[in-house]
Amino acid sequence: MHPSDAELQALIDGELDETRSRRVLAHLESCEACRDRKRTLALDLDLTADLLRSLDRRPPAMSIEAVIRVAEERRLPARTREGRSLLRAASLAGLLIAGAVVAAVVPGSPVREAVERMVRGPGEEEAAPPPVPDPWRQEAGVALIPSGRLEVTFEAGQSQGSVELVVAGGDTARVEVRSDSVGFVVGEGSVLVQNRGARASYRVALPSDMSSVRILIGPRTVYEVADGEVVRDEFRRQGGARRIPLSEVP
Amino acid sequence: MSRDEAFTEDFRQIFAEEFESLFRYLCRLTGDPAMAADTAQEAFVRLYQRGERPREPRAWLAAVSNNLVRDEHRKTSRRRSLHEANPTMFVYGEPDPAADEELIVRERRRRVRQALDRLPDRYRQALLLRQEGYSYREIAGALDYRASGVGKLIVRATRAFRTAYEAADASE
Repeated sequence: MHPSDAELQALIDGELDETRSRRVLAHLESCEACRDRKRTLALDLDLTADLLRSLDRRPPAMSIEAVIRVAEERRLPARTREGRSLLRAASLAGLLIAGAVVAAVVPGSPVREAVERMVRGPGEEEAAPPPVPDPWRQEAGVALIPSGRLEVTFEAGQSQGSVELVVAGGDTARVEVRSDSVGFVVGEGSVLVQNRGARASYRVALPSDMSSVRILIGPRTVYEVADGEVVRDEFRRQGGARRIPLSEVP
Repeated sequence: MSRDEAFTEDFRQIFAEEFESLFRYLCRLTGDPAMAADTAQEAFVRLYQRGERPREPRAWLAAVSNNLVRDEHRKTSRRRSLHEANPTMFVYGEPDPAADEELIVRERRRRVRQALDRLPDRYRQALLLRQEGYSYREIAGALDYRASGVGKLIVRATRAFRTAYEAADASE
């Protein structure tokens, strides 16, 4: 009896047990058709391997210490299993709010329409307000990030405007835009401010106990907190505020 | 040596042996090096948090990664990726510059990507895990599939891939 393709494949892959392997090999000795099938399967595998290699990229230089640090951060005592579940639920709620905020910031945009449709649900009246769960209040132009880790990226420098940094109490971080319309792309622990060509000023308000924060303007990191320590701070004190002009980055 | 220290040492060894392979698998699976790097990192973070070695570490990492990729695809239907929006900020593993200059290589890459994207998830995952040298038992563990059916799955996946690649080729 001829071996199946799966058996021949398993033989090629070294996955046949000894008894079956011996039986199939004995059959191949006397069956040219099966030898051809096996050759074709092996050739297909080799060609596939060759094709797939064309997709490969060099792996990033990933530090195991960074991986362990992230894992340890998530083991903070306050985050019990129940806490993590609540946090996940809260993160989801936060994302929904943030999505609504994006819609509020870009009037008439497809995003706004999509978010509005999502919030309204089919067949509901446009006037129905979206549910706003506590403790995150919706404020126009503000992205809310319910997470202990945050990366805020301004897509580019601007000819005018600045970023003000406020480190205060509270349990949410906010990114606020004033006097202009820009888009926010909000992920879990990340906000991208689509400010290319804008002239607005912004305020980033952080809770004082965030353990990992990065603020980037274009490719440049201007503020960084790692393990609760400020390791980079290019904001300047002006009066009672801390600001960095966006014109400093081309 | 305490239990925690023993696990940390074990974890370091798994990371050293498996990170590149997992990244390559995810890169091929998703076509997105930034997502592949993030996902591989997250899978290892979860392994560390687990605090003990899984019986089949490679299968465990692949299964977690597959779930993360699936979840990410669901999310990205609603929001754009930060990495996608800022490709210059997140340069994870540039393609080989010499090869990338050749049109024929770029074309082949595009067709391979297209062919992979046309496969059902399970075929794509099985094919790519096999190409990473995973055993049938590991593939079965990663895909929650019966081990006795993996050989057939790989034969079908390989054929489907070759057919899709040739179709992509012929459509030019």
